[in-house]
Amino acid sequence: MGAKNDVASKINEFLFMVKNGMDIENYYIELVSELERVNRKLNMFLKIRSAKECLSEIKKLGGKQLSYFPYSAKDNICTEGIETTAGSKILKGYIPPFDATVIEKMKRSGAVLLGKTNMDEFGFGTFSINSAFSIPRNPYNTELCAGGSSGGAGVATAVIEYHVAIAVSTGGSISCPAAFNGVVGLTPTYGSVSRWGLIDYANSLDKIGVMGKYTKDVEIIFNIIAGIDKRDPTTNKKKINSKAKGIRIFIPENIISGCNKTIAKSFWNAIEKLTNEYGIEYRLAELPILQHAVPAYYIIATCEASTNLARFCGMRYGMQEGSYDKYFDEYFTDARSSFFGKEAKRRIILGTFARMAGYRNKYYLKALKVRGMIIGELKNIFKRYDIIATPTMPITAPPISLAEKLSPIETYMLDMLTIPPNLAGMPHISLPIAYKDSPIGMQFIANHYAEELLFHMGKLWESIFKYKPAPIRVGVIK
Amino acid sequence: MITDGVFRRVLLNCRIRLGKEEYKEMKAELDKILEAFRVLDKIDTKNAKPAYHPIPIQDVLRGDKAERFNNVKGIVSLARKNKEGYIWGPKTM
Repeated sequence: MGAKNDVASKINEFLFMVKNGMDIENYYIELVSELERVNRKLNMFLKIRSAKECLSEIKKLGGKQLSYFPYSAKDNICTEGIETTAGSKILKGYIPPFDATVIEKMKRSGAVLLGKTNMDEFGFGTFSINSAFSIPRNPYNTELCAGGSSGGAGVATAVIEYHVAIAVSTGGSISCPAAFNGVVGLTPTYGSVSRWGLIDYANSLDKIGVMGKYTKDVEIIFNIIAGIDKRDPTTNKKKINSKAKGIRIFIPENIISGCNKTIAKSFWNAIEKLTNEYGIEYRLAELPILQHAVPAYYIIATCEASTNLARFCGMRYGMQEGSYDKYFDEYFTDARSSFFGKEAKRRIILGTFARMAGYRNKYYLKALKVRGMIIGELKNIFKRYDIIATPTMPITAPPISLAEKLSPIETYMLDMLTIPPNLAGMPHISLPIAYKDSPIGMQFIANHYAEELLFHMGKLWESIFKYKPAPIRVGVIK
Repeated sequence: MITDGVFRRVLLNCRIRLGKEEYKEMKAELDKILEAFRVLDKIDTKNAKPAYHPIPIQDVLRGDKAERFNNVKGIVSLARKNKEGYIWGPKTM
């Protein structure tokens, strides 16, 4: 079963132009100037590098694989000499003295870093409204959310004509903004991409992934950034080859029923299109264990986050204010109380509580066991099916004003579709399937290490469905 | 419902201080979150094994040999008070 047309790719388009004598210097001067103007409206970047900085990097780059292709990195990925805050005030002013492994690999391949993208503080959010600095806005309607926590990466990918975003997902932070901004978002298998140089949220859940305009673009970048890194002992490079024929899809009925009507209708239209065009078979059945995924995820993630964030005390790097005449405990408490945002405090509190003696078994250990059961059930599904399909989000992008009014638990429950594959460390890809108030996404989940199959599915979908460009665009070559 | 005593102990462990209103709001939200998480009580996990990682992880330990980190200056210079490779912090005694 092959895709019906040529495979679309913004990277290949760009490389073709470079090969044919494109004026790179002029392109970057114009791109950065346009980007600065548009960013004032959309808040997608926390830091945009000047054209001079980009051009000086171009001179140093030797790699030909991505020959000057522009990319961005989420602001929780360390970049040497460039401020990295993870969207938090407590890291304001932190300038890492090293590059994360993914950044080293992108540099070596010849890609040019445009800047650092806006995000929920430390990745804590579904809508990017928890950034300490500004709220990224959806390019389809600036009153709407960009999704989170990699909201800036989603907007940048939709808006910049030639660009990919290196983003991070813990519980859905790539898929959600990919869906809301109408781009492709790949969250790879846990451990496929080195996390060295990532400012952790939850070590057993964090995955560095990619957003791009097309599946081919995320495939190219995944193959560059994936692989073993001795500095991250959780990395591996197993690979399961894609099957081209007789793909069987499983659709978990009970979680689809939690989606709003617009989402459900768009999802079923897409499934119908796939079955009509390619004869793909699907089975609809209940998977009751998935209703336990959200609480299990939030307990594990906050437990890990509360220990990870213990290092931020306002002393060695980032925001450092207040008198050292105070005792250390008082100083650290002052710094943490002043510079952590509300959601960060909430997650630290929840995680600390769930790890405390007397509560640990009831919450943390129980959640870990539930995760084990969820992984087991999903593995069983993959003995009989190749792909699990769901919508990416149960709602379309909500207005920012509405998202700000939601209670924490209401917000957490909206992650019900993206959490299961993240909790299980299984690769998944979000693809645009419809355009209403904002774009709508569909998510394909595959077994561990089966990214190839996701790329195959993405290309099949793109050969029968044409993506719409965002209404605001920069870097278009006329 | 979480008691004030437990909540205060949690805040102390977190090194986080909350204002009066923030305290009330945060505690009420935590109660609601824990109430929603009670759905986990319904699931029988007696025979389940905890999954600390989503995939089996083989512990890889670093070799027992000293290595020189080549950017000590870069790290130390991030602290606002530093001198000759050392940083100052608040007092401990």
